Amino acid sequence: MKLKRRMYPYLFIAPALITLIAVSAYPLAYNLYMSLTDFNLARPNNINFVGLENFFYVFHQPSFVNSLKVTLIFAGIALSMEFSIGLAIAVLLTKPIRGKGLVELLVIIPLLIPPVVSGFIWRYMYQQDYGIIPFVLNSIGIETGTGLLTESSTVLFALIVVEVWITTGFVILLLLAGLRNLPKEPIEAAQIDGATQFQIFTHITLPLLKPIIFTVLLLRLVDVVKIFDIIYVLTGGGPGEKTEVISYFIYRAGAVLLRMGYAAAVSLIFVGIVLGICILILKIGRIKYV
Amino acid sequence: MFKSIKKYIDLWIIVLTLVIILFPVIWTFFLSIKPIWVAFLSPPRLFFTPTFHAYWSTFISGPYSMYLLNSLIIAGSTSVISLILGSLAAYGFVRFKFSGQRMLLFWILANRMIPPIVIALPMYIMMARIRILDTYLAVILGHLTYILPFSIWMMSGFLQGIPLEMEEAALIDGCSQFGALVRIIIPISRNSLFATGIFCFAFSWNEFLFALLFTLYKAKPIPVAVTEFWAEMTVGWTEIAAVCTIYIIPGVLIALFLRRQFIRAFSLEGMNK
Repeated sequence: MKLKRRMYPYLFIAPALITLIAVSAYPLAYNLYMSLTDFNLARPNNINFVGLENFFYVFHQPSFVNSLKVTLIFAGIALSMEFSIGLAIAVLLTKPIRGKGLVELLVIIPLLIPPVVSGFIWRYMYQQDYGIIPFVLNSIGIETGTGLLTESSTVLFALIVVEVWITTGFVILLLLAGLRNLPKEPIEAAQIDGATQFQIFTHITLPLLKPIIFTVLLLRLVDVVKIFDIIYVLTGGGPGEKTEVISYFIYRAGAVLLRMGYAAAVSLIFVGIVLGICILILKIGRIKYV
Repeated sequence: MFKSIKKYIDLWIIVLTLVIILFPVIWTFFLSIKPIWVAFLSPPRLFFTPTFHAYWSTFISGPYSMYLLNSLIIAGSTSVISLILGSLAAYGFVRFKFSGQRMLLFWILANRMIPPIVIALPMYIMMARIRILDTYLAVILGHLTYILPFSIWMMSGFLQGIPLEMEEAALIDGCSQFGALVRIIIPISRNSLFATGIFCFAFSWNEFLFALLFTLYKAKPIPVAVTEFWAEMTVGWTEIAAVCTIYIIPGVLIALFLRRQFIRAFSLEGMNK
């Protein structure tokens, strides 16, 4: 009877655990195996062990280095835009202004629209011949060349705008929740001591908000480096390889070029990078998990 | 004087934000009811006779109601499975102390961090081997990789809020642990289960990559089907817009009615014990 009680927690957890091992741990392990072979979907029955060759090859390939660079630039610009816009609007929403309830209610909508759909919505608006965005830009004197999504100078930023549109609501809501839970005393004390609004914000509000800021950055960063859907719909990685992010690079290597072994090696490097970023931010922000 | 200008700036930012959020969505709805030739006009024409032809040609005479049903079956099954397995596991994690607990929980939650493409490619080969590609099961299994951890974590948060005393009373009265879960915990956490289920549904409903790789024809959900308009010579923008308009309705409803649970659902807040 005693033994049976000890088994209880495992009985409750087992179904979920077994499922996750099957759908997540096993595929990851399979990736590890594939990364050491020349597995190609065009000849799935002829698999040779090649050791670490795929990994050596990865870093000699300009396309991979390019996809790393694109992903980092994308993530860097998108995150800084989301964060600065998000913080500004969140601070604004703590003040008593008309219409702020409506904003709070509606900022969630882009997050719950399927990214594929958002991609189409924006692709139509970006169309050079009949889209509203080139029309507005042209009429205020800004040239859009052959199109915002085909010019290599504008395409990445055009994609970033879509990503910012989708996810800034998330940043706003988390920061707003953080701002509302701040202790009132330090701010009141500073006001009595004659600090200006700006001083209070930079010296008291921001430091107090630090844990939330790190959480938001971590969550967004982990998400933004995985970006795939809107790239697939809006540009397909083009023009050239201008917008080919890592996820899309792996997709192309595996599902289009059928080189599974190579795709698996890149995948493992990708997982390593994502985990590395997480650990780094957790360490810097001193956030405790679980 | 200066104060009032500042006040107006705030108000203008609010208005601008609302416009930026809503305009693309409303624009898409308008596109869906435009006659096809109006969709390609520049400058865009604001007044036209609305037509529902795009809805008719996709959902009624076209195959899109079938794809919609596929989406519904996949998202529905994913959320039911995630809810059952997830709340059982959450109960195990919250109510018991056992060795390896923290490690196990950390591993489960870390699954949410793994980029989907990394899992999707090897899973594709596994599914080809057991011949379940292009079935609902294939997509559901793919979605479980990140929706099940979400459900476990979400339910753990809710269950922590339920006082132990309620179950202890039932356990003393001779109820088994499982019985306590079914008779006491589930009825009082009805709302949390509902909220979690809705979000699991939304995540599955919106997912694209797994569905793209694992389906071909029979099990294809809308996000995959809608990308295929590109194959045709002229882009069917009004049809794309009609499909998109129908497809975002659940998400918009969730956004409007489940706002309170929203922050929890999309963050790891509550994980920092």
